[in-house]
Amino acid sequence: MNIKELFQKSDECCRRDFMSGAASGLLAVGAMPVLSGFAAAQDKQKKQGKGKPVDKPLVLGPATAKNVIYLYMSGGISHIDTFDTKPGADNQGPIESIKTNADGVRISQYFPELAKHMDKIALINSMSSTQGAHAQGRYFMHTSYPMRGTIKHPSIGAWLNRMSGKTNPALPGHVGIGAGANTASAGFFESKFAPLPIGNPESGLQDSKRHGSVSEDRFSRRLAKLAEMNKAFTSKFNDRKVRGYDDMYQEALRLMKSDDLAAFDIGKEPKELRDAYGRNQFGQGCLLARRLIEHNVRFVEVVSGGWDTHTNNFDAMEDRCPPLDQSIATLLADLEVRGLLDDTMVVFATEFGRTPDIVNNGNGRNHFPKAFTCWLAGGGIVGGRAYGKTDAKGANVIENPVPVPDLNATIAHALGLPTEHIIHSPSGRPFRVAHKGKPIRALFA
Amino acid sequence: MKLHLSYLTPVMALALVVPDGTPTDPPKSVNVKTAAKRIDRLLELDMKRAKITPNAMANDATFLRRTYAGIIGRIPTAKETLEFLNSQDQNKRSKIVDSLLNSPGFNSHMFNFWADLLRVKTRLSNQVSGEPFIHYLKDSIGKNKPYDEFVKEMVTASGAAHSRNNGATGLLMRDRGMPLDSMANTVRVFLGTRLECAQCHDHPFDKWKQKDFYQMAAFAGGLSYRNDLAKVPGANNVRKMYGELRQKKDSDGQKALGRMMRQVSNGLNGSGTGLIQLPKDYKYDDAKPRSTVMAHAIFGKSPKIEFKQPKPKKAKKEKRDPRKWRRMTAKERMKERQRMQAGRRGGRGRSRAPELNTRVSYGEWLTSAKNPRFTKVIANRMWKSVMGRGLIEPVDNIMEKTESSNPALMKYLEKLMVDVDYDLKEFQRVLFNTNAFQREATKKEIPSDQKYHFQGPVLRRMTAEQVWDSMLTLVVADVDTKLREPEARAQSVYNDYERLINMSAEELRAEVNQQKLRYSDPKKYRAQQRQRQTRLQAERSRKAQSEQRKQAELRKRAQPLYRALIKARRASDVAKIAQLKSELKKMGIDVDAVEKKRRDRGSMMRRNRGRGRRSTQLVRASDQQHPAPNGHFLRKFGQSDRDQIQASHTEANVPQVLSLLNGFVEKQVLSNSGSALMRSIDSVSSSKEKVRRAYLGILNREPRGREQAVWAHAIDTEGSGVIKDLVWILVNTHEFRFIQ
Amino acid sequence: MRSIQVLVLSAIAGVCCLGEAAAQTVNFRRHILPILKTSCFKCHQEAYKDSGGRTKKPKGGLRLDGKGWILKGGKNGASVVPGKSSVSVLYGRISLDADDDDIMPAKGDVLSKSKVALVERWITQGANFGSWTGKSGPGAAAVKKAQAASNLTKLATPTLKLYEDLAKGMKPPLPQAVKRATGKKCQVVPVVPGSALLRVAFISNESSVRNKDLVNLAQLASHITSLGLAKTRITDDALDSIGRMKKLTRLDLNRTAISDEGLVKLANLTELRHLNLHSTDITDEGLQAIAQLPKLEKLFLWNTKVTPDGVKKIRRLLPRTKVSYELVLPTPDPTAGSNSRRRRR
Repeated sequence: MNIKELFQKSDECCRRDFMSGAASGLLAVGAMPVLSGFAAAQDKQKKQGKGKPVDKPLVLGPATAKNVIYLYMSGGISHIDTFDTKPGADNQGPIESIKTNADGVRISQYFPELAKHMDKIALINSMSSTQGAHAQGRYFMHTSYPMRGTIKHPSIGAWLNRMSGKTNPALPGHVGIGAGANTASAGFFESKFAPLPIGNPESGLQDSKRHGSVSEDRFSRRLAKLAEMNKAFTSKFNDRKVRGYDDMYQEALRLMKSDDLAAFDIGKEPKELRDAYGRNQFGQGCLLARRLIEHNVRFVEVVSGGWDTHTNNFDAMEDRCPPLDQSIATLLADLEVRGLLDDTMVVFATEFGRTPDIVNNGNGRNHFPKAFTCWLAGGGIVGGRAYGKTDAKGANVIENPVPVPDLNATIAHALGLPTEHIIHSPSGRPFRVAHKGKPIRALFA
Repeated sequence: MKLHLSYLTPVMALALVVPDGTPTDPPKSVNVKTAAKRIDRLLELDMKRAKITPNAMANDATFLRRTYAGIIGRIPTAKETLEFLNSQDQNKRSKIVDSLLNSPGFNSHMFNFWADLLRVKTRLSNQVSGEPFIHYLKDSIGKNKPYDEFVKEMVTASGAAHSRNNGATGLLMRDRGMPLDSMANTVRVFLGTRLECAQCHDHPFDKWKQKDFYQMAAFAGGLSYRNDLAKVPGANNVRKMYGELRQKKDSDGQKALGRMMRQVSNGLNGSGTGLIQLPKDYKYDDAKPRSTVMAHAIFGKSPKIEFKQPKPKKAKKEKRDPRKWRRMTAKERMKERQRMQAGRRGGRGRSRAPELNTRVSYGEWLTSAKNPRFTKVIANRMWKSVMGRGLIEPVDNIMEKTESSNPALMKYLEKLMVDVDYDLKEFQRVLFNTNAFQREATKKEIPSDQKYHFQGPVLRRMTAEQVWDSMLTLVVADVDTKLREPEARAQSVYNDYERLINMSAEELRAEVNQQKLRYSDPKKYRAQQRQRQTRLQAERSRKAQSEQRKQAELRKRAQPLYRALIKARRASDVAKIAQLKSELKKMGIDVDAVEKKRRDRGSMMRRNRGRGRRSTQLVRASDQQHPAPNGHFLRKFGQSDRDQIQASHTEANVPQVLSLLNGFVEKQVLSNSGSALMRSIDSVSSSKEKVRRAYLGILNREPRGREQAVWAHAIDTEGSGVIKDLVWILVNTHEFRFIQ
Repeated sequence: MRSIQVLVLSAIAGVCCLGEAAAQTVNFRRHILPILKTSCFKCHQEAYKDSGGRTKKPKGGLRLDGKGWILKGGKNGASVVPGKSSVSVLYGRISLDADDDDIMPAKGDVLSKSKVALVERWITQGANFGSWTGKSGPGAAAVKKAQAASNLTKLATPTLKLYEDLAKGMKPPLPQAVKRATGKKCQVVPVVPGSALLRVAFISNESSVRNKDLVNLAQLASHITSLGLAKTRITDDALDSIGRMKKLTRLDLNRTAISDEGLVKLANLTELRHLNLHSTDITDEGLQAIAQLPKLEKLFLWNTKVTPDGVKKIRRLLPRTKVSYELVLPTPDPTAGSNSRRRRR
């Protein structure tokens, strides 16, 4: 038996697993593909027989969350100046810490709004990474694998969609707002699992309506002719990239026809709410993320950049933290009041922290992967506490170290995805959603 | 089999390279045809060993499209296509290669290549403009600067970043303040070696140790990113101002001056001390943390550096006065301690290591033909650019055990690169002349971890820049003539810099006093700024109004002439038309230019003006903002955000498709009556010919089989709207966006 | 001639056998034990003293030299979980790519692909050890614990227990009923895998869902525990049948046209834990109807016609319920995000 057959076999056993589950092989909480779509997938399987890997939703355990909003701080946000303050320490610098509405948890003075929501948030102060450079750190945080030259790994959003499918068939399952091309990707999965990039949340999804001069009928006729013309090319060239375009055309057309397209238009929100989120890209991006979650998009990533404060760290914190605080606090309040927070896991992540020592002429901090902070809220997480500890300086993890893959494993687990499950790349190599990461159970109890 | 080099006489070189006698590059010692044959032979041997048959030769249309996209970064127009397809010249293929390599489009396309690799941005950072760097790159490409010279200049550049024609500093200014990352990036781009991991620990996969990393960084030891005003001629006034303010202890003034001189204060300063300090958490036992290491290259022959020992200064021996000491406060004691320590060390502050020009030594080592990876990497990158896949993949992760897929060919390419004296244009010329380039594209996708034997080029989607430029070809006529001069945007940066440097003392003082307010009384400052704004606004509108008045007057005077012109046009009185046009020109109105402008912009401008939207700048990617703004066509199609090296991609996504279905194509190509393609189609009356024009312009081939007949029939029966359908469909096909 | 024929035939048979090894049962002693002996035992055996006198402990705390030891596994979990190769750490480690840091065996030649395949088949076929036991191993309890931990792990959350208790004694729903309920619009799935309780939702087509589309749910009424009707076009009339769904624990009626009359019909939903009414037209009157729901944990009343007094009242009547009513927004900081130094983001 060669690797390819091995590949099918490993999916085979999972098919058996979930078949043996509930009546008629239905799928569990956390994945709600349209049943008719699932049946179609089964038929496709039969027709294709062996040889082509079919994307089927897999079995899942019970989930506490359905969706994920992933807030990514690009550049490495300083942990000591935000959520792991060390009041009184030499290296704390001028930033003070304030009390929160969670006992025993203090955070930086620039987050007064989040301090009122700390009861929802579980800080993880003991994150630890081995990657201290931006590209590698970002890659590691998103994929749980160290960056290699030979293969590109899928990021967590792509994994979720690949393993358990889209909830809403008309909308994409993975959206990236403000993310650069290399932040999150589909890796070796088919390109339809890559995030839909939204550059500017205010302009939303451009060109999503048919041009005024083209009637519906004419549009359909054009599409039919286009499909015909493409057939010759697709049959000539057996290439994943060409197929990727066929998939994308289908996806785009589905999107165009769906009512859910309105999800991308944040102009529909009241002015006060838009102001509260903050009239900047990140703030409006959070608002768009909430709208997309309401329309059952599984994974939305919103990127905030400029945290690489080698110099002018304290000025930068003063400038950037308050708007961040405002946006995230509004997001949490908004999700909560709509009853979405229970089903949505909000993740606050970054690639590494910053040095406890103040360097670079006394006003900067350099990269520091050894210890840093991320946090989780909603989606079954019990908030109001800080998990894990660093030492008095913030330089070493002294309790409950959490390597980066464990964070991703926790997210996957909350969504009901088995972290032990192996999926093979096209060249036959085995990979898992969070590599060797183990979920942190303590956060759910 | 040894290559028999034939040395050409200049005359023969002229005949070979350009047929029409225009001045060419000096004769090279490499015969293009022979070199191309050699490459083909090496490939054939490899294919024979692997029992693979080479693909058939591609037809003219496929070849043409591939060549245009590969050399000048866009598809050919219908006219260019026809010209080539109809030519009966035996040597037309190599001739078109030559003419394209000599055209401005080549410069634009090469620029995109470098922009992606060197992470070019219009604004390198808050204070540093990228325009000088862009100017430098475009200029170097235009002059066809030899690659080794090009790299060396950038790596050894120094001086103010914004001063005139000093854009070579851009490479290092891109990573201002991060000298370690800067070195790692330079090594990755030019030596194809990933050292980044070794910044914090011994490299996990390759043989480099953390100490090696620092020894490499030591070549740029002591490099400062602050422009030393002492070295800038004419900056005396600024320096004196600084001194004055410092004396007066005017901290707000100092801050204000600093802010004003932001542009002036950035540059590369220091020729390299060859020494660097290891980090304080260095954990290996081959050196102590914080100890100084000396520069040493990681492979090849490391440049020799004469480290001079600084003359030991006489140490002052001082003893503490116990009575005084007891009476001091903690702060005073600290100060006293510092002073005594400095005294013992032999002087106030850190002793500076002498500048030993190690940056130049580094540049020489880096770009030497003897450097084992320098030539290999560029030869491989060029090969990938032409053929679609490198002999070594990935191109920038060469490790000790890395082997190319065809060692004999790799070796030959390195030799060829040296033989052409690192002339990238010439190198590519050879590659474009091979049979390997002219074969049909391979039909099956070869996985990235499998060996490829180059039985033909690889099927590729056009890069974002190529797609955009090709779209422009459909919209704008003669798009290459619209390319801007290299120094177009950099001029204002240079001018600002010179203005600041040359300010007189009084001007400086006045400006500083005004700007001081920003720190001492922010409210007043803001009020002042607002006043200033309104004043400027009023002035601008006054100017605009007077300009409008002038134009109105001019138009009034020109009215009778215009009317006469229209009459003459109707009567097709050529002589009268020419006379009227020259008269109008004398009045200051260039009729042809105005009409051309209006045509090229199309109706887009007028429509958008009212809505407050800026019209899409219809210029080639190399002239756009770098990177293009989020949401721009270029970004949707995968242009890099220029934060990482070669972060561009050619993957499909939904925004791209939406743009093709409902966006750019509809708005700029179809609904725009001024678009070059639509005009070309409108200019012929036969339906068959219209269809032909569409195919030639978009897919660059004649319609096949029944295609022409079927579409022509549809146009005849259903009307001219069908043409738009045809164009829309053709632009949306796979055939358009993929280069076979 | 004959002997040659026999030879040839048996050779062919032999080849066929090898080829058809795919269908045969893997024998532990013949196929797997040799692999273990050659490639695994050296590092994963009982602690012993080597030639230099130093004690060599089993690497990674893992012993593979006995049946019990194999089933118990080491710190990464059970090495072999019969029937499930995807969670068997042994298989996971040997099937890694050759340049992966974690591949086993860590020293010496990696296993050939055919050997890896053999191990996988053996596990999938039930990891039958035959008569082999090897060295006597850990107690049965330790083995059981390790094997149990390797199962697709369940999150022991309160919700899980709740569903378990609720579903006690229930028969699974009839497949035909489920099929009929699921039309183009509806999604019906078990609330957790294997449960008899169902979750029903309408996704992506909410605006076209009307009262009549809920008719088919009536047959499943006793099985439905979670019902999502947000943004649909249902009215109070639909709540008649919903009010009879005894096992309903979660009901989303936000952004619908229901009113106070409708709420009255929900008064008998004693198991209701989560009720989402945001953005509807209910008033304080309607709240009285649900004030008696004994187990309500979460109530969402934002953007309704309920008054602050009404909220106060309901909070008093339902002390254990978390009532979400106000959207407290941070006061927008006028200077936030408009700093002239920062351009975008």
